[in-house]
Amino acid sequence: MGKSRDARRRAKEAPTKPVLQTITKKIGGEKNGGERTVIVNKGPKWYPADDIKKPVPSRKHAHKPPKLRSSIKPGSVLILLAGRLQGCRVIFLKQLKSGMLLVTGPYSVNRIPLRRVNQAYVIATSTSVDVSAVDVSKFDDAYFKRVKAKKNADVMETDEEAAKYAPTEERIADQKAVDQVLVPVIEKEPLMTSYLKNRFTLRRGMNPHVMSF
Amino acid sequence: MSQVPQVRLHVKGVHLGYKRNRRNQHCGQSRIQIEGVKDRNDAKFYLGKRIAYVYRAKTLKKSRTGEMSKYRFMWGRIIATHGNNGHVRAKFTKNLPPVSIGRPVRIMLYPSNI
Amino acid sequence: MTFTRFVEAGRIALINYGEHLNKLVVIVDIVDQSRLLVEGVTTKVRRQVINVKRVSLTSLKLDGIKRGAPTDEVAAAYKEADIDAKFAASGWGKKLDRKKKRAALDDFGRFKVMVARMKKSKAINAELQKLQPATA
Repeated sequence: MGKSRDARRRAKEAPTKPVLQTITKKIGGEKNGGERTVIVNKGPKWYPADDIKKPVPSRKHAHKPPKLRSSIKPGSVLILLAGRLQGCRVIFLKQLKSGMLLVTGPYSVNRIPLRRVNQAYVIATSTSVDVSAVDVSKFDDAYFKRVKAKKNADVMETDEEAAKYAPTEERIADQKAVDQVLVPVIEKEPLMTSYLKNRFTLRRGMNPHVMSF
Repeated sequence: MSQVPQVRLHVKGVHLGYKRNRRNQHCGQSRIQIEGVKDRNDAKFYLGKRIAYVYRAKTLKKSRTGEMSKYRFMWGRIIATHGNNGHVRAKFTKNLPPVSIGRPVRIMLYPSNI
Repeated sequence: MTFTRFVEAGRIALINYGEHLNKLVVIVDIVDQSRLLVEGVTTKVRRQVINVKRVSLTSLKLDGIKRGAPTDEVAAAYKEADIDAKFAASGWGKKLDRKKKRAALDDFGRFKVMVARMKKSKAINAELQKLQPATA
């Protein structure tokens, strides 16, 4: 059997053996030959007696956000697959540092506020909307972090009212700002508004493994 | 009743039985048939997806969403295809009870890869 | 009820099962009660023996094709008769085309179809209501 194409290529590109860098130096003395080739980098003079193990470099700070699926692009319409909002169609704005996706209904269309969603719980449709005019630079994970209700030191009580979520003024204002830019873009496309209001559901005869989204 | 409108975001399936040979069965893995899936290739779409076996019980219990419910869930995942005709194998956190054989099972669309 | 579509040399048929699903073929020869020799001219179906149950007869036929006709004769007759265009214009062909398009729709497309169907049925029902005898 002849050599495979890969083997031939490897042999061609075989790296040449490293040649030690040398310098020819002139030396004195009659009977010494006049010149000597000297190795430039002789290497360390002293070696430790035992091998010292190097600590493995810490990967604590080498965080990259989870890869964004190629089908998800800013402006894509996504279908939420789980939770209270399952079946809802939302618009993807950007991927946050933690890897979660920042999405919104928009709120004035289908009452879905600016929200974080996990990529795995989302189907990306091929429909998209132009979101280049929306400013999403101020939204990050810290913005969405849950604020835990302060525990009442004296009495053990389940303060249900405090635990219930109420949007802050800031959130309402931010949502309005985003909606103002986004809604006119959506209304340009015929039926897009009602499409975003409509919830996705599987029906008889619908097979997700053959359907295209 | 829960406030979620009646949308179906799962594919229907049936629990066929446990992984087995003719005379012995291994209850750690279940064989599932998914509606509309007749090919090994089609079944590959569902690998990794979560499965729920839903059943009713007499006493109310607090469900994951916080409400008291008579419905209980056993969760699992599809781990492999089984044969050439679109069946799949699933592993549940706790093995499915034998009474569930022949009963419907829900195959969720997440974790999604589309 | 008389039969009008016969299994004969030159009959155009549609394969209804297997890898060549929904492809038009010409019946070139008959092997026996259950098997036919077919060939797809424009549909890349090689000349092969196929079970008669895997094939649905259309109303189109190529005249002048004798049993066991060679490929070039079949191809020439097929192109002259413009079978592809005729089938695409028929009700069956249109239905197949519509099914294909619907299956290839994306989510927004499916939504638009749903809206159109609801509109259509609303319009039909409105007319139907007008035709109903007025009940007290």
